[in-house]
Amino acid sequence: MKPRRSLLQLDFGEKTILFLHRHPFIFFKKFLGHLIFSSLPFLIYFILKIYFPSVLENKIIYPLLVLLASLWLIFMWISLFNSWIDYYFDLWVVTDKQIIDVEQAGLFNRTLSKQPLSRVQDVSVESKGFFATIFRYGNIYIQTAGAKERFIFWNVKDPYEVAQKINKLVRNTIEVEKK
Amino acid sequence: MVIPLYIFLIIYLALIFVCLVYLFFNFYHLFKFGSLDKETVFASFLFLAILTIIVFCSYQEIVKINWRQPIFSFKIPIEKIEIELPNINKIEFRFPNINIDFKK
Repeated sequence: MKPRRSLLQLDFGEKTILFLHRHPFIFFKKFLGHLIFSSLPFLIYFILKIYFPSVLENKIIYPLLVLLASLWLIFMWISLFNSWIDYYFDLWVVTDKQIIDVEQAGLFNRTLSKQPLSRVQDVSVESKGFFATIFRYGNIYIQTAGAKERFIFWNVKDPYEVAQKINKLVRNTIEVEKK
Repeated sequence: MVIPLYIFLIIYLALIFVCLVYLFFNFYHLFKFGSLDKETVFASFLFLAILTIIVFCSYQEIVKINWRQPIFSFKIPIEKIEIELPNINKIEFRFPNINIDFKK
């Protein structure tokens, strides 16, 4: 699941080391929320059928309810697809030269920030909460000396391993630059 | 004057059109910036399949309804309007020649 290389604007010969998305559980939570909201028309239908059957026999109200339920389901489904696209394009890439943060905020709003590995000052990890512990995901905070001082990798899988890899890459880059 | 039920159907179709435009931009975005791999194609297919099911089920329900029936109609018998007030004498209006009768 990768966006086009042109989106990341990588240099020629630049190798991708880590390609990170949010943990799938984060999308699953959104999916669950959409599922609950999508079941509302069915819930209302059963409540009306049991307690107010006359409403469903009404020649004006029933067609309106059908249209509303249909619109609601279509809207919820498109909204879920939009959330998936958001999840798909929110990513963090670590190459052998730099770290790249692509954030998708809405359909027409995307920000792309880059920082050379040599400018990374500190990498810290935060994993808190029941689900984060169970499913092993968390935030990685990368302090840099650049214009964007802090890169945050939100809810990525195995944050400790990822932080270790980034630290190793940073050390290697600094050593190469010193030579 | 009669207001038919299909007014709501027109509003519904207009909103569906807005949803379709939004959907088009979603797909445009996905295929312009994303790669055409298995996951993208599968997610798009799944999304379109379920959307088709929702639209088909909606269509099945919508065609059963008589959309030509009126929501309400304005029919005021302007020839004669009677107003009765409990503690006041009965007032009677007649059109077009207005005769006001104050019956005691």
